[in-house]
Amino acid sequence: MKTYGIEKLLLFCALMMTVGCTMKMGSIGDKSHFTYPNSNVEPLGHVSASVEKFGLIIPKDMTKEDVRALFEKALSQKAGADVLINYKIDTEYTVIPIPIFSLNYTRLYLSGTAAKMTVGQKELKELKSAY
Amino acid sequence: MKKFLLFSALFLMFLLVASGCSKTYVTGFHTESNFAYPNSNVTPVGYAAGASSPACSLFGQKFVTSDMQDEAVKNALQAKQADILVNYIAFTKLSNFLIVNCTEYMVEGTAAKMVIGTQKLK
Repeated sequence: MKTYGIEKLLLFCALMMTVGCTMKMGSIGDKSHFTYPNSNVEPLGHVSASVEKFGLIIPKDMTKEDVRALFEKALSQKAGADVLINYKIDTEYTVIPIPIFSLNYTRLYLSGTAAKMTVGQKELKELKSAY
Repeated sequence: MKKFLLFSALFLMFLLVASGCSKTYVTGFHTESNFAYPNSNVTPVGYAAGASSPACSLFGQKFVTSDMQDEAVKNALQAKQADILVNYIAFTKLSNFLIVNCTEYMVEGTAAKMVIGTQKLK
């Protein structure tokens, strides 16, 4: 009877260890690239992209190359898109703590509006300020 | 008398714990919440403030996500029927009540209307 109790406790602990957890963190952004004031920006439509990485024991981090590739992947969905506007970017990190080998899953998710920017020249008057 | 003192002490401790702890952090001063088209006219319509729904969890504290930021901005703009929040301050409020931890994102700034057109360029 006592052994049965320990077995139940061990089973409970094993279940608890495989539950894992997910953490999410992110932010919104107005534009992915500089938009020239001497330009016309035209929205082309909603786009989204994600990049996943899977690691055993040690979680794999996202690099700046991954982030750049993610923005390129999103922009490539609309022909002629130069900039991503009103975007949301989140990093989701999931860990399943299986004994000895913990499974780590990292996902970077991006969504927003792809837009085309046409740069031109504004007519400007001479600046009067002496500063 | 002893029992009364013990009960009072326990009640006081419960009140202290139950009152929790709330901290608000300024997390940034931003120029615009949404993309301001260079080919647009932006007109300010007044002060606006908004907050996201608190994201709560047991034991651990949740991080601020893009959905929370988006919700706070949308709530601020809704009241003024505006399109963009300019010159706004963002806050993150962390609240702890016993084992419950909540995270809230808040914004306040100037709501503005934006009419998009095409500007004449050479």
